[in-house]
Amino acid sequence: MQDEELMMRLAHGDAGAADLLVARYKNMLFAFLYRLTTNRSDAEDLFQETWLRVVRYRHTYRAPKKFSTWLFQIAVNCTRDFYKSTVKAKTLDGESALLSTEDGRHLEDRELTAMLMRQLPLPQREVIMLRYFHDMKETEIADLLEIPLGTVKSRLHKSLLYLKAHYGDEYARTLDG
Amino acid sequence: MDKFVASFPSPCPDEALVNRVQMLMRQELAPGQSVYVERGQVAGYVLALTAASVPLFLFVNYLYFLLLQSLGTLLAPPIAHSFVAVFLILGTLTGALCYGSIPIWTAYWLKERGGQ
Repeated sequence: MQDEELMMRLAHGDAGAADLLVARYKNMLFAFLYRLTTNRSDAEDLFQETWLRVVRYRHTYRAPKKFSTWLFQIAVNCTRDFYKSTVKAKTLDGESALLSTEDGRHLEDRELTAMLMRQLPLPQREVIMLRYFHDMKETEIADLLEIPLGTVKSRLHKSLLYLKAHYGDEYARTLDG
Repeated sequence: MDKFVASFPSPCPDEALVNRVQMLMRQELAPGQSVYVERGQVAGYVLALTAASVPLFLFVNYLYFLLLQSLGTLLAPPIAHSFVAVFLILGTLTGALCYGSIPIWTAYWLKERGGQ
């Protein structure tokens, strides 16, 4: 069953359709939120809030739009609202929620990457995530974030320059692998 | 960028979290929860209520018209008829619109505030 049909059923109050959508997109959505926040606890809160908003605003979904795009829009808005209401506005502080691993060398890269992402302002973090971790085209990102294509390109460019300027050789070692 | 992406793995959500979210979604979908109403629908309700209340206001204003017509005829005969007719039409429409829209928009605004 396609997402659009599931959303139509959800609009009529079908809880089974909601369960199916959650099962279908839980990993993708959680990965996005985790990488955006680099904090598991925050990602879990945002995961819950995103799905609740999907239910609350189910009547605003319009079929030509891809459900995944609409879902990610809600997730982005949830994240922005979350950081407006806390003091974690532009960059993140707090403990890292990195996963443990047996490979010590890989852990070092992971720590560096998480640190790099935490230092990026949220608008730039969003485009980096969507472009490189979710393989979205720049036009799709522009549509999802409802910003001009030029702004997407500009944020991507600034993000990469920022990272390179602040972390120099370590950044180059991580990215050029 | 491949190494960059590979260095930042994506964890899966806990089953407990997923189950809790699904339960909360079911609660939101349960009958009796507030229904999301789009602004366009609110405008539709306002127009419907306005249209429905026009006959009532027409009757009330007709009585008012009779009173004003008597006074107008008594005090200023040349303009009495046209003045009262215009007053009747405008008063009916304005009254119906106000009485229809004010409570609905107020309720919608309160819901919007409370839901955020």
